[in-house]
Amino acid sequence: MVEVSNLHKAFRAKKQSKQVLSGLSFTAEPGRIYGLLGPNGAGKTTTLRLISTLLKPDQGSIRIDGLDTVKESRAVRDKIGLLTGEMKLSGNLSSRESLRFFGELNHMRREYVDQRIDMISKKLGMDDYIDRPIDKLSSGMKQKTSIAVSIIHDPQVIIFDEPTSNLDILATKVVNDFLLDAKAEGKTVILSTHVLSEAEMLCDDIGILLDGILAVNGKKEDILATQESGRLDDVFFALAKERGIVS
Amino acid sequence: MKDREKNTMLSDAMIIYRKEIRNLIKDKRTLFATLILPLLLMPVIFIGMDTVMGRQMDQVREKTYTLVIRNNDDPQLIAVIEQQLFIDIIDEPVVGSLIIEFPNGYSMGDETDVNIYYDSTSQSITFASERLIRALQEYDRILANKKLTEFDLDLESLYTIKTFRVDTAPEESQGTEFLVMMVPYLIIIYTFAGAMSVGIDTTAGEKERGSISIILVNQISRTSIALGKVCYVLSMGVASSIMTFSGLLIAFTATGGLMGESSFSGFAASSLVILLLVLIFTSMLAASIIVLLGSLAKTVKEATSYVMPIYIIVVLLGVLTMSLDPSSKPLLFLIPFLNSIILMKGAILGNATLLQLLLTVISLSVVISLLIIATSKLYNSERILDSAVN
Ligand SMILES: Nc1ncnc2c1ncn2[C@@H]1O[C@H](COP(=O)(O)OP(=O)(O)O)[C@@H](O)[C@H]1O
Ligand SMILES: [Mg+2]
Repeated sequence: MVEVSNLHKAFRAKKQSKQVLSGLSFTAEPGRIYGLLGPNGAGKTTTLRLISTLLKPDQGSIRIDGLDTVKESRAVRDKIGLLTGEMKLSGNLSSRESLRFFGELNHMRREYVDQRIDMISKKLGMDDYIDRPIDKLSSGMKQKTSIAVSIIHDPQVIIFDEPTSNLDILATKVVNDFLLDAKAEGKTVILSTHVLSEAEMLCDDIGILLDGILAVNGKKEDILATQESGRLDDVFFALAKERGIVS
Repeated sequence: MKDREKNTMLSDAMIIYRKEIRNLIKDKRTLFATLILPLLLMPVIFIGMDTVMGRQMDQVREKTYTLVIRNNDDPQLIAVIEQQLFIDIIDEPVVGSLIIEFPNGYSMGDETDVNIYYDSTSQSITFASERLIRALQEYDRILANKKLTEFDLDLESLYTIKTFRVDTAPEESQGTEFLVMMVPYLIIIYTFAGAMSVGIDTTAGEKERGSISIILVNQISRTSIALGKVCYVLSMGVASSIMTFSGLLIAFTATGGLMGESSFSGFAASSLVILLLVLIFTSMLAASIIVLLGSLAKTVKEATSYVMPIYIIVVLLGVLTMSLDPSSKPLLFLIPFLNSIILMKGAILGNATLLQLLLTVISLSVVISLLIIATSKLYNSERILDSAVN
């Protein structure tokens, strides 16, 4: 479970302070996928970085299974698996070697890491190429390796920041299948995206981030019901109109 | 609860270090550029220059020069010139001729000015003009001797001390002293080059690949991550400079005769130790600058644009202070890079002192430590997440 309450975050750039989040609150629950939506620059990445302990909130707090992301950041990091769309795995190491490295970063014992690698590789179907250099892999294979890296330490919470933004259709399917699987296993999943159709298909709960707060937050069905068409993009346009972003 | 290893800050840093090394070992191209190339660089430059300069000197010496001698037809003059140069005496100058001009109405024994006309844009003609000066000096002695015999004296009896300077360097070595003086600059250039590609790749390159945030979300501290990367780049910088040093030794040995004793007074073991120490500390300094700037930059391109100006300033600093005499100014040895250059020069010439070495090592260590602390601070700040994406 991820509980975000009253989150504030500003960045100082060139002597100017820019308020990105101003009072963001939501809860993501186990066995469900929470979709954080919003246009580019809305603050999705910032929010997920705050949850992942990469940034510290100016105000407000985040609890992961009851642990505070600031005061207990190390324990929190043990519970979360992060994947971002910007991540491009590369290099001469094989998937197995990379996974072992991330296992070490998570202070896992070697035998346990190898056990996890076998399990994940079987589950994602990586056995054929797990010892091949990453540079020689196809995009789908790389994507599976990235996913494997993010869950090597068996996290309870899975945080994916626009994971499909740079992917082709095959690699996108790999990610979406994985997310549905994780949900079925009872993980808490938070997914950010600006692709509304993807959110509509995958998510159980949805938050739309606009002007630093959640303009909409709740169960997908309830949110879609607010529009006659029952479509997420109409929800979005209605919101944008309300705020004078589009006419 | 999961099985957990208990780790310290340093053993955590070694996780990062080992992974980087493992990755590098499989990268044959980078490995070649950081380790093998510096080994070959100095021998190639030295042996190449040695061959080229030797051949040029041979050509210059064996060439026949056209010469016009005005207002003097003394066969003795031609004889002394022929001892110095292959010449062809002609009446009117053509392109590339040299001219020796005695004044109108000159007669043997007059006190007079003699002009030698030559074209300084040609190396060989310049060389020939120097030989002509020698010939005229010899001719002057002959004339003086002739005058003295009229008083029953000779030149030998006027001089009581005869000095002989015997140059033990083989003739081909002319001009290599310059090359030896270039060694510190070549080394400085290569200390940067050695750490550059690995240093920028592991910092700004990691940001570009979007993997930095993933590396930061786990059980090892950001300080350990920074230290692991610093250790990696520093050790590659040092490895690279040790290869440069080995290359230098190979170059010195291969062209051993060429160095002679004039430029290397035996090249004592202490000089070698100083060279190696300076090399190691300087490459660590270059590496720690590169890691810090690479971590500040958002992209590899940006990182390169940060490092380049510093690189150029360092080389300029060296060139502008080339003729500086450091012996009376110990404080100069507190200025990073400048101290490396003048100390290396001192080591090569065999006049570096222990105090100079000490000041240099202390100053470099302090700056390196500050840079490492700054890098570690940067990794602990939110700035490290800044990438080209946001
Ligand atoms: N480190 C930073 N310094 C200054 N501004 C930042 C920084 N990170 C993000 N921002 C700004 O915060 C806003 C939200 O960014 P981000 O969270 O990346 O949005 P999203 O992921 O929704 O596209 C953007 O306007 C971005 O320019
Ligand atoms: Mg984003």
